[in-house]
Amino acid sequence: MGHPEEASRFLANADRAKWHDQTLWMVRQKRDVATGFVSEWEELRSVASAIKEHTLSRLDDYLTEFESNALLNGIKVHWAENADEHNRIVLGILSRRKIDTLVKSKSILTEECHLNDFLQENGIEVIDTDLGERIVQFAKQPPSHIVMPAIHMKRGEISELFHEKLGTEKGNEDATYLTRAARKHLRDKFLKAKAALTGVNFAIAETGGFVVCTNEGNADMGVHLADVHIASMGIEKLIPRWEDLGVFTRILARSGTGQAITNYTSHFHKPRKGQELHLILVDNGRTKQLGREHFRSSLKCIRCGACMNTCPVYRRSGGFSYKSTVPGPIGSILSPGIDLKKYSSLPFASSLCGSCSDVCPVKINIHDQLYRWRQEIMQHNNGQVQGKIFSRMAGFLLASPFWYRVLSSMVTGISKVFPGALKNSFLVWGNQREFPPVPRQTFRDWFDQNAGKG
Amino acid sequence: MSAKEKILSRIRDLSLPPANLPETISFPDRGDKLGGLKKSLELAGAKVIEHNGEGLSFLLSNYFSANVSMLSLVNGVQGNFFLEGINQPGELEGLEVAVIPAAFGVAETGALWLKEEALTFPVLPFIVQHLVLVVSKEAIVSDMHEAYRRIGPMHRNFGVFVAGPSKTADIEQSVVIGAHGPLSLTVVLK
Repeated sequence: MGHPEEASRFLANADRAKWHDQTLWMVRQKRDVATGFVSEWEELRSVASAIKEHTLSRLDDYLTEFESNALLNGIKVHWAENADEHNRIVLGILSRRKIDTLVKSKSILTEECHLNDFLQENGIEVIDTDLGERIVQFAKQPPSHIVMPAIHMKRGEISELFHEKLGTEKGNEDATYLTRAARKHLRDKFLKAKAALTGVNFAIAETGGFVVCTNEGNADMGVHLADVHIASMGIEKLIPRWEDLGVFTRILARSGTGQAITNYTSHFHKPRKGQELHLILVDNGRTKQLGREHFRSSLKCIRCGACMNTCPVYRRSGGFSYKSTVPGPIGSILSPGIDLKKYSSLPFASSLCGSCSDVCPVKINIHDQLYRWRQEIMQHNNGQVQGKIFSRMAGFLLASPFWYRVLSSMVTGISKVFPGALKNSFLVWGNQREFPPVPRQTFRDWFDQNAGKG
Repeated sequence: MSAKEKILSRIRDLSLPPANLPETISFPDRGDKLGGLKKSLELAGAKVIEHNGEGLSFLLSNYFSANVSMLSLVNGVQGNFFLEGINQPGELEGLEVAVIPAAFGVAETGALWLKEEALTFPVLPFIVQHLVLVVSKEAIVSDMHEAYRRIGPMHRNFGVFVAGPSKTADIEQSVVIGAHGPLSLTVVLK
């Protein structure tokens, strides 16, 4: 199923869809307030974008520099060409130490690699420790948003889930009560875990270290208690210099949640005494995307989620409607690069309003790329047949003044007699839309009547 | 060929056009740094106390009862819990209050820099129930650019910017202070 069908399932619950829309818009507004305090905001965006552009232009050099510095620091560096290699490296590290439980903080890369399923099939218990991720893990769902994984769920459902899994009071929906229950449950897991996995927000070539940002403190609770820390990163997460962190820590949280900075910004360069620190550099299609001239800049993404919060389509269709690890506008330009056929409907899940590009802190021209993907998809013949027929017909009608006039007077005439005629199941575009009232007269008729009178 | 060689050669084969690396940037001092730091921290849910450093123990006793466990790594503050004899970081579980020196603060974001050297156990500011950070009013920088310049690229031990008590909004966007880390953050500016 494509995005329109999935979106209509989400929209079937109108109240929830409205809540989802309004809540994400509220986050977008918080972003506006936070960025408004920074008078040099536009300069920061330009510099951040240029730093990423430069890094991507010589990614091989920076990866080499990063690896040699990381090795000097005592980090064990691994390279994975694809998801499968990444997952096997993680399993290998755990197996060597006979570790059967892994606490994880948020990592979209491991979602992309389906690491949890792989480890569980191999007898490892995986505990997601970000509250939102733990909620969706309990519900056996993927995250629906990269920053707010459980944004699609209502507190009643979470309360029910916690009652079942954690034994909280039935019907107690108080957010503080439920969060405290999760805190207690996960503290116990942190204290027992021998291995912790984190994602990477930024990796610094100059110093051979990396930065992890959280608000909950779950990444740090995991890694500072465990004997083994595994960090997984996509190769595009690199930045050249230590000082570049000044730019990126200023834009990440402001764009994502409207905070000035995440409550914890942790800097890792070497293992704690007696600890092992592993870092896995993953390609999994990134070098392919790097080779696509028009889509290369999608790799600048720092995963703040701002484009999702602002997108009128994401807000009204929910993260699951995209069926891809990264949903929303940025997901719709990344995912077709991974599987063009499977994700062919995503670049069309956009009004091309450009709001995503306006809020993107690294200035990715997201809406231009959506438009570009549409062209490639139509060329690859993966577009919807209905859409193609309509485009052909429209092309014909708009090119012929005679047939255009015939059709427009027909539409005006029919709508007078049957007002609902334009809304039908054949025209999927109209399913969730109200048509404006059709004018009683075409412009042409009006012009003919009134021309020369004034 | 190893995965590393394959990945690197794939990138090399693209021979991408060069793009310039911008100079590192800095901005003029934004004025009232103390006021900025206080405002940022309060916005993030921290309690801020200005104090001259004398009788800090007494001051803190107004906030924390004498029969809770308190570890102090700050001169002049007497705790009743000590790191001697702690071998594993997990043994810190249950510690109620930790008073820790922060190296400096950042006015723009409310971030306070904690270094592993000052923590002994990196998990300390996360595992403790209530965190008290003490920072000098003289040690405030204007923004994150200046902060990273101040730390410098030679720092290799663990370091963390703390900008508030741990928090989450994962249940219907309701903000709850006290997720996995401390339930409260008190910052003493002395």
